Amino acid sequence: MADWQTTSPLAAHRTGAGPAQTLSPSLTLREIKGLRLFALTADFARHPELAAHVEGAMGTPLPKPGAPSGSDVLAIWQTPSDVLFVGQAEFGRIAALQGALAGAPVLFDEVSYGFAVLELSGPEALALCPRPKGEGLRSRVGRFADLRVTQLFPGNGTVRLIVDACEADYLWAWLEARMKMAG
Amino acid sequence: MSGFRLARGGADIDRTRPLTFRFDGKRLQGFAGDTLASALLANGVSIVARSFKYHRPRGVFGTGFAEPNALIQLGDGANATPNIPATLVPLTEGLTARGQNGWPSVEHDLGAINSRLAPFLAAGFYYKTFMWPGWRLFEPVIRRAAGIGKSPVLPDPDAYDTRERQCDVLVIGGGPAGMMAALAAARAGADVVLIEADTRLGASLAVEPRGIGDMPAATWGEEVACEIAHFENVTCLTRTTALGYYDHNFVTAAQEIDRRALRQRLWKLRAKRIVQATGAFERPLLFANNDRPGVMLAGSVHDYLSRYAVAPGHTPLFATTNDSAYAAAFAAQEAGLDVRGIVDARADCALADEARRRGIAVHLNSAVVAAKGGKCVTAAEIVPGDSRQTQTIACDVIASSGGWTPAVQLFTQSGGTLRFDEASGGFVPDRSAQAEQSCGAAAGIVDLGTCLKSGAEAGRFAAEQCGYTAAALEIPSASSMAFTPPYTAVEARGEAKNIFVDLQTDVTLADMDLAVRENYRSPEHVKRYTVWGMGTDQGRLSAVNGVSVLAKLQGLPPGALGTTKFRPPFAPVALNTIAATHGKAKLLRPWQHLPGHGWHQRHGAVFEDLGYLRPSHYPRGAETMDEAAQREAQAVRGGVGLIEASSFGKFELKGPDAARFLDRVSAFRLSRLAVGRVGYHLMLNELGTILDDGVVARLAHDHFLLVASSGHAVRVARWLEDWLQCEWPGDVVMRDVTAQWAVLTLAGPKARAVLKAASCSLDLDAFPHHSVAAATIAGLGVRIQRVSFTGEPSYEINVPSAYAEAMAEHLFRAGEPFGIVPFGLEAQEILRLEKGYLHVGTDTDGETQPADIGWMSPGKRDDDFLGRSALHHPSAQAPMRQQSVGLEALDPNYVLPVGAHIIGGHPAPSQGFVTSSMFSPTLNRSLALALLKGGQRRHGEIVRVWSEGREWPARVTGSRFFDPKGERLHG
Repeated sequence: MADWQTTSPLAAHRTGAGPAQTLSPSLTLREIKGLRLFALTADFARHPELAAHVEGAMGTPLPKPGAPSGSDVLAIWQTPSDVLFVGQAEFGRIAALQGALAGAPVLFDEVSYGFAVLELSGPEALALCPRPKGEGLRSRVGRFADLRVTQLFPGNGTVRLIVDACEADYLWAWLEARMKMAG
Repeated sequence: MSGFRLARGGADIDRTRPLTFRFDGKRLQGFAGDTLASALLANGVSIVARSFKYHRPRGVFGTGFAEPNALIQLGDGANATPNIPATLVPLTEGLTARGQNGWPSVEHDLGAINSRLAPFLAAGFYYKTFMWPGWRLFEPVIRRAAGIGKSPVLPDPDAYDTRERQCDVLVIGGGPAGMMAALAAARAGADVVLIEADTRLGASLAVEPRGIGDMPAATWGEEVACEIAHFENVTCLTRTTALGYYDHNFVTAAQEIDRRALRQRLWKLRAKRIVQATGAFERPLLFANNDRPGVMLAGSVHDYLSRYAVAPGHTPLFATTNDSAYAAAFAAQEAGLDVRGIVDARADCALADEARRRGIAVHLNSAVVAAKGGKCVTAAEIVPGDSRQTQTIACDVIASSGGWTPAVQLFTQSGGTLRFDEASGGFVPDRSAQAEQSCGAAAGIVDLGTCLKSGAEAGRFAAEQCGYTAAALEIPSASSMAFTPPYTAVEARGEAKNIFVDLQTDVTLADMDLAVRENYRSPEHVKRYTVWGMGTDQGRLSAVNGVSVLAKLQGLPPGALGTTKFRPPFAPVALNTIAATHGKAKLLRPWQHLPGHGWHQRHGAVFEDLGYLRPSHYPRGAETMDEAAQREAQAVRGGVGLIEASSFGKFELKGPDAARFLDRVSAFRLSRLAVGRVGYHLMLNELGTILDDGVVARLAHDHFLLVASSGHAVRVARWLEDWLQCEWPGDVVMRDVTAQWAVLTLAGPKARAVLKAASCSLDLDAFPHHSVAAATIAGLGVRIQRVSFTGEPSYEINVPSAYAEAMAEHLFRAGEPFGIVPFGLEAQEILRLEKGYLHVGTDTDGETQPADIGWMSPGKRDDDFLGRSALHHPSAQAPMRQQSVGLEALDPNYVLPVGAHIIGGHPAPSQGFVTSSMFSPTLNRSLALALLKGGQRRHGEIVRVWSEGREWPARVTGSRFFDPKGERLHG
C-alpha cells in the first residue's frame, strides 16, 4: 500500500495541531477549522408548517437550490428535504430551531464531525470550480472529483468545499494534483 | 511533388523563430506557427505515410481535420502517440515523428508488395478466404498486419485534467460565423463559451481574398477576436475540439495544453443553447490514383500558401466542380507558382475569363481521370466532356475541389436529422432535436456575407432564448469569391480499382461496386463490409462521396440513401483524457479513510482498499497475513479484540410511517421491534433475491437506525430513496449518517469486562444481545448496540467520527489487562465463517432467496413486502435450487479454493461452487461455505470439489460449524 493512501494530510488538524495548508502560485488550499454544521431533514412538502418553524427560528427564508440564505448561520440547500446549516461557534439560532422542531417528524443533528471544510483561493480557484451564475453568495451541490461535494461561493473569489470527512483526504490529494498541473 | 517555403507571407508563422525537428530520423527545420504538415511540405517531404491496406505512398492531402493520409507516430517511448494527423500537430522545438505503416521506412516500404496483391485483397476478402483449415490459424498474422500505428507500451507519463462548465450559450467553432454568434450573445450579456479547434479565432479568414467591411478579412477577424477576448462573460477556448454532443445539450471537448505537465484537458460543457458553427469540409474529386502524393484539396493548397507560406509544388493543376478552386489557383499564381491550368467539370464559369486573363488555361466541361506518377504526381490525364480522348498535362500537384460538405457530425450526434441539398450536393441540417442551431457553412451557407449574418442571428436568438435582450448586430458587408454555387456533382472518372473513395481505409470504387453486386445496399452495411468511413477520420472526407457513389451504383439519385451514423468522438482522443476525471493511479477512483485511520496506522495495520481503506490484519514481526489472522481470531475467541466497522452504511429513518416503510422493504416485520431492541433484516428485490442484510435498531417509536453492509451501503441508500420517493411516499424522512458515526466493535468473551473497565455508563449485565442504548464512555456520549458478526458477545460503540481515534485508544488501553488485540478483516472472515454468517454477494448470488440460506419465515409472512410474491412462485420451491451449505474437506488441513466447482455425475456438470473458505484455528481444520443444488437435503453427502484440474473430496454439512446454538453469543 502506497504512502499516499495511508497518510492523511489533514491528520495534524484532527489531532488539534492547526489547519493544513498547501500553496501553489495560482491556487491555495487550506482547511477551515472551527465551523459547526447541522443537518435538517424534513418533508417540507408534506409539512409546510416546518418551513415556517425554520424561518421563524432562523430569521431567514429556507434556502433555494444554489442560493444559500442567512448571514451568521448559512442555510444551504442540499436536496428538497435536506438543509445544511453552517456557521461559527455561536449557535443561538440553532438552539431556537431545535426547540421549534421538537417532536416534529424531522432529523436534526449536529454533523460537524462528519464533514471537512476546505477552501480554495487564488486565480485558478474559480477556474477549477466555476462559480454558478447570480450575484452574491452562491452554492452548488453535486459531483466534484467524483465525490458528492457542496461548493460554497462567498463571492470573494474563493470556494469552500464541504465534503464527508472520510473523503476529505482523497479530495485533498485530488486538489493537490490539480494544483501541480496549474503550476 | 517538391514543396518549398515561399520567400514571403505566411499569416501563421514567425520567421524569427526557427525550429528544428526530426521526421523519420531526418533533421529538418520549420518555423513557430507551422504545423508538422506544413513544415514537412516546406522541407519537400512528399511521402509521409503508407496506406492502411495496400501500403501505397501517401502525402499530405489536406489541413486540420481534413486529413486522411498523413497519419504519423508522434514522439518516442512512453510519449509515443500513434495516428495523429500531421496537420493537427503544432511544430515545436525538438519534435520527433515517424511516418506510419512503412518498413523499413515509408520511403522504401517492403509492405508495398500488398499493392501487387490487390486483386486478392478486395473488400471482405477475409470473410471469404482463410476458412480452411481454420480462420484461427491465420487470424494472428492478419491481426498483426492490420491496423495503423503502434500503441505505446510504456506507462503514459503525461498528466490530464478535466473541467466542467455550464453556460448560457456554447458556440462550437471560431470561424467567421462562430465569432459573430459569440459576439452577438456576449453583447447581450449571456454567459458564453466559445471553442475553436485551431490555434486562434478566425484562422480560416487568412485565405479570404476579399475584405469584410472596409478592411481585409484577416484584419476583421483579428479585431473581432480581440473584442471577444475582452468580454468578461466569454470563455474562449482555442485548440479545443468538440468530441461529442449528448442529451440535454451536454458536449465534451478536448483541449490541447502547452504546459509541460499537462497534455490535454477534457471539458464537460452543458449549455442552455448551443450554436454550431463547425464549418465545412472540402470534398475531394474521384479519379484514378487520386491518392498519390501531390494530390491535395484545393482549399488546403490555398491554406498552406496563405497561412504558412508553403507551396506544395512548383506546377499545380487545379481540378474543380465549383468556384472555390479558382481562388486557390489565383493565390498560387500570385505566390509565383506555374499554374498548369484549371480543369472545371462545368460547362461554364464566370471566373474562367478572369483566369484566362491571368494567363491560366481553363478546361471547361472537363475532368481529371487519372494522376500519373509513382511516388509522386508527375502529370494529370484529363478528358474533355464525354470524349474518350485524353490529354496529359505535366504537373506536380493536382489540387481538387468537389464542393463543400457541412460538418454535421455533432449535429447528427445531437439527434438532428439531415436533408440532402441539391444545390451544394451535400447533407445539411434539417430538424433540430435539442436546443441548438447551426449557422454558417455548417448550415450549408456558402456565401461569406450570409455566413456572418447567420452567425449573428444564431447568437442573438440563443441569447434571447436564455432570457437576455439582444440588440441587432451590425453585419459588415462581405463578398466572397469562393463557395459560390452551383456545383457539379462529383463523379468518379477513371479505372475503378485505383479510385480511392476512402483514402484512409483504402476503399476503392471497385470495392463499393463489389459490395453492391453482393447485395449490400444500405450505407451502414457497405460501411461494415468495406470499412469505408471506419478510419480515425470517421469518413469526414469520404462520407458524401461514398454515399453518392453508392447511390449511383444502385441507380438512385445522390442523397437517396442518406448517410451513415456519425458517432463520437469527432476526433481521436487519448484514452487518458477520457479518464481524466479520475486522475491517474492513486486518484483513479475515490478512496475513503476510516475515522480511526491514524490509530490503525499506529498499530501497524496493513490496509486493504475496499473503497474504504480497511485494516486487513496487524502483523507482528515477520507474520504473514494468514498467521496474523489466525492469531487475531484466536485472541478474539479466547479473550477480546477491537475492530473498526465504521464503513457499515448507517441510515436513520424517522416519522410516523417509518415502521411501516421498513416492514415493506425488509423480509422481516421490523415494526414488531420494541424500542431499544435490534433486529436482523434481509432486503430483497422484486424477484425475492437477497440484496443485502444487516440490522435495524429501534431508537424511538418513530425513529430507526438501519445498518447496511459496507459493500452495499450506496446501493441500499439509493434503493431506499427510490422506494421512499417514488413508490411509498409516507410520512418518513431518511438520512445517510454513515460519515457522522464511527463504529468501534469490542468482540470476545471479555468484551463486557473491557467495556466496564472503560467507564461505560450502561448496566451491561442488563443489556442482552440485540439491544441498543445511549450511554457515555469516559464522559463521551455514545450509542451502543449489542450485535455480533463473530459469534462472540460484541458491542458496537458508535461515536461521533472525530472521536474515533481517541475512543479506540481509550478502549484499547482499558482492554490491555485483558489481552485485547486489534483485529482486521481477515480474522473477522475466519470468525464469521466458523459461525456460518453469510456475506451477501459473496455467499449468495443473483438468484439466492431467503429460504436458500435457511430463512423460512419471510415466505410465511401474510402481509406484503418487497419480493414476497416471488417467494410464492413455484420456482422458489424448486428442489434443485442452489442453497447455502457448509463443506468440510476430508483432508482437514486443505483449504478448498474459493470458486472451486462441486461436481458430480457424468460428464461432471457443476452442482455448485465454494463461496468462502478458511482454516479455522478454533476447530483446527479447514472450513468452507458453498452454494449447492438441493444442498439443504444433502447434508452428510460426500462430493467432489474441482478446480483447475484438481479434485478434493468434501462432506456437505450445515453451515454453523462453531457454537451452533449461539450459547456464547448470549453469554
